Amino acid sequence: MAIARAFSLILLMFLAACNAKERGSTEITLWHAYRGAEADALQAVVEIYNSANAARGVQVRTLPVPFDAYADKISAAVPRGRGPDLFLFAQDRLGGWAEAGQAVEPIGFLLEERHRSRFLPNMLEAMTYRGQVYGLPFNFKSLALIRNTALAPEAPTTSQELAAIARANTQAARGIYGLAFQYQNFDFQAALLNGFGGGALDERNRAILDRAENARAFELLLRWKDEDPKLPPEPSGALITSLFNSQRAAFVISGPWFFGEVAPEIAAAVSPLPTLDEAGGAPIRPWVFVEGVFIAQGSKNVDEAFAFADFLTGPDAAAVMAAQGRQLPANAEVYQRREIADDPVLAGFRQQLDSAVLIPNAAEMALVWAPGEQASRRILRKEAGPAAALADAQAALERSIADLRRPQP
Amino acid sequence: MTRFWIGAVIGLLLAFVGLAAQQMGAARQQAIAQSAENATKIALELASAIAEGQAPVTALTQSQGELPPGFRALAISAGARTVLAEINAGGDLAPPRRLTRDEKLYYDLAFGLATALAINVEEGARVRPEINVLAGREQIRAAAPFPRAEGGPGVVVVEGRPAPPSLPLSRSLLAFSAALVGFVLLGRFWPAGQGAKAVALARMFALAAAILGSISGAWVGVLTAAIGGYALALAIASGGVEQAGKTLLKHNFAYAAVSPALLALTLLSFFPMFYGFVLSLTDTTLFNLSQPLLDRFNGLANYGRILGDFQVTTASEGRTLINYGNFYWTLGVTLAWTLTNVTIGVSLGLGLALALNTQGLAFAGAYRTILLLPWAIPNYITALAWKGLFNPQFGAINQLLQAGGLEPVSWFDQFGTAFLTSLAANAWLSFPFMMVVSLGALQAVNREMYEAARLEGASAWRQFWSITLPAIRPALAPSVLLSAVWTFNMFNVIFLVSGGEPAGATEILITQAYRYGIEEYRYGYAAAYSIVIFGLLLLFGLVQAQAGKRAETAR
Repeated sequence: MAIARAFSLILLMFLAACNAKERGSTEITLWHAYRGAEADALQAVVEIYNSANAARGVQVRTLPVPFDAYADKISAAVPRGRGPDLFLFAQDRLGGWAEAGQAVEPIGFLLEERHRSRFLPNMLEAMTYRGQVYGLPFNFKSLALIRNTALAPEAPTTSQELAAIARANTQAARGIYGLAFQYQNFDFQAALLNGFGGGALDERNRAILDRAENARAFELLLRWKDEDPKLPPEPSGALITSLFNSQRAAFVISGPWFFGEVAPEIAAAVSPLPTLDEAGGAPIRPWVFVEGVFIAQGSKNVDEAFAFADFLTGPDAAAVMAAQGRQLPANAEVYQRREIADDPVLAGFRQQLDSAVLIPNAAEMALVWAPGEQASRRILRKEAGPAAALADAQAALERSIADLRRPQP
Repeated sequence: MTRFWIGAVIGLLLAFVGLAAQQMGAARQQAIAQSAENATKIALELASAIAEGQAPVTALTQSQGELPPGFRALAISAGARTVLAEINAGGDLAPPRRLTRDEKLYYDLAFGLATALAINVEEGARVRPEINVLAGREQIRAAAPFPRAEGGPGVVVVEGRPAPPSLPLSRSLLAFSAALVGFVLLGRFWPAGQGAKAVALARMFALAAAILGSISGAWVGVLTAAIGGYALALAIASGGVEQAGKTLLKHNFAYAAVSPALLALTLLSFFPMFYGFVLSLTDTTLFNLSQPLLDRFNGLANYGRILGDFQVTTASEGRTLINYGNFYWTLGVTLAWTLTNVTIGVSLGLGLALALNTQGLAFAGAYRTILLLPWAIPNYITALAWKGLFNPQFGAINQLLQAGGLEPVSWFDQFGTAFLTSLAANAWLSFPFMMVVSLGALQAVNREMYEAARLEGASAWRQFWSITLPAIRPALAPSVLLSAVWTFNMFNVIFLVSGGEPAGATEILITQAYRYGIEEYRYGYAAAYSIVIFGLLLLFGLVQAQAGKRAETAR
């Protein structure tokens, strides 16, 4: 009797399970590395989508992954079919994933005109590798000039104006600086290198670290640091934040993430980085990281995943991500909205985009960091002149590129 | 004698079945390959005709007769997402149309092949196939690219189902009868005797396989059958099989018990190791992965570059710079890392064990539990916690320094301090193990010896050196070896705590191999690097084992 009852119970459960499956609930998983406001905003967007699509049985589930391990987790899990349906990542790893195969689903075929015309200039280019489109651009992040409006009411437009205002606000002996940024980091320096017309890789992804323009950029950085207007020594991220929050830094060069740390009593505004009088009036051009929504290859639900990616990069989701997540959406339409256009922070970063350059999405980019950082350390510690340090870095980068790619005949 | 005949017949039958199966498989493969080759040829012809300016419709119409039955051919413009011309499976010409959602693959193939062409030009070698061929049992597909000016690349696709293979059963039967006759004849006139019998049998197998093979013409089959037959005949005739079977039966439980582990080891350990070794002999990178392994072969070049690069420092503008990427620098860091860690781990662990071993210590159990905690927590969590502690901005250690009126330290900017961060984290992780091992060994030491020593007036120090240490050495020595090997390859702590900062100075060998492989996409070089690490550890183990043996005999 008891056995029969247990058996019928099991049968009932089995039928229920079958029934649940038959109702066709599709679960789309999305990996991201967001925290704080960005993660909350993303969750809000996902919930909007889920409630709108509950009737169809489509549910999106997010999984936050620690940023340190994120790229490697994708590289390791996705090609073995253990990945999500979608993941968010910036374009700098795209080339490697596209070349290796089995990681990112190409989506060029799925794009309609409404997708192609939806984004700010250059956003879709960041997601394009060798002609094929791999992701929908979600948001972008770049450095810009952030100022304490109490100390510097007006945004400078040239490097000399910037230096002049900064100089007036600098008392290095008392730990007060007109300009402060993490100038020891290569991605910060790259804004200057690009501004002078140099950079790390040319359009065919060959090393160009030894260009004279790059040496000139480092010379300007050294002058800023040591002579005029003088930059703080050992500029860690925390130091910059603490200087800015204690009214001891008039200008800071940083990205949207900086506003998560700015004290509420500080009035801050964002403007594009100034033009360089030292480079004939060319603007300082920071690198732009475009975060895209990528469909993982091997996803069982490519079309449903694309539908969600479509929603995520549309104007409604973008408005939530901008207002609540303080992100800079790649969607162009959202900047027409009043609350976004009038937002001094978002509008400032949006303006910076016009003179920024995309960080290359080629696999070679991964090789740039080690020699670039080595050169920067040597130059800033005065162990070598810019030209010599950059020549060594160029040789090292050329070597490692040649190890990755056979040299052209 | 009966054993001889049973073995012989079974061996021959097996050889035959194997060969027949191989033949059937080969025939099917051949049919598929033939179909695929045919499709490839047509696709290439069409693509080159279109590339030379012929209209796709004209090109396809001309090739209409060549298409095997049931195959279709399409000329596709990926940019315009249209099928420019199509001959459907019925052999009729279909009008141009848009690509359907199911045909996304063709669009992706067009872009993929265009990329392959471009990369081959850049690399100056054919590292990527310039044609995509799928040769399956169910479907054959050949895709060949053609350049197309308006908005993206073009691709010709020829696809269909392969023709069923004709099985060469009659030929196999003929071969089998021939071999059997040969076998019987040879067996009849061969001299008897246990050892000679095995050799003779093996020869017969080789001969039989050769006859089978010469008729069917498959050399792989001949070789497999001949070698397999030879081995089997030897095994059976010498009684090896019988003996092995007996042991298997006798210890069946033991074998059943270890077989899952053996299988897992083969799949997870031996095969990857072997593959890693093969990979280390190639110049595999992200860009030539799809090339055949043999084309990527570059001998011992990777090893030469790793071990032959003695440029640990470079002089630039009168200053000496350390090349942090150099193998010998990293090896030096790794050795320093292992040595310091093992020293700290052993002394801390032993010290705490001695303290805990004090007779009548109150709350000894509580102390022991607390001291074991670092070991119980997963080490990546511990590592991340330590990284947080050392964070130059928000870390507790710098906060403490500042609270004490000291300057905060940029821990990861200097080699020494960065090394210290990982060292601290690993010391925290490694002492509990040493403590547990030492404590266990200490509790087994005979207390009476201490009493005797005390009566003789030996100091505590003298007791430690003359009684405690020799008594616990047998337990301690293998744990020190184990801990040295673990530390040598302690990926988690280095990767997560110092992350190799500054500029790769604090990398150890295993994290460096990871960087080459995963971050710089140089798979062959990274594989060689890991094999070198393996070699070093093997050497260390052998030396240690020798030393242990010598110590044993000395006693």
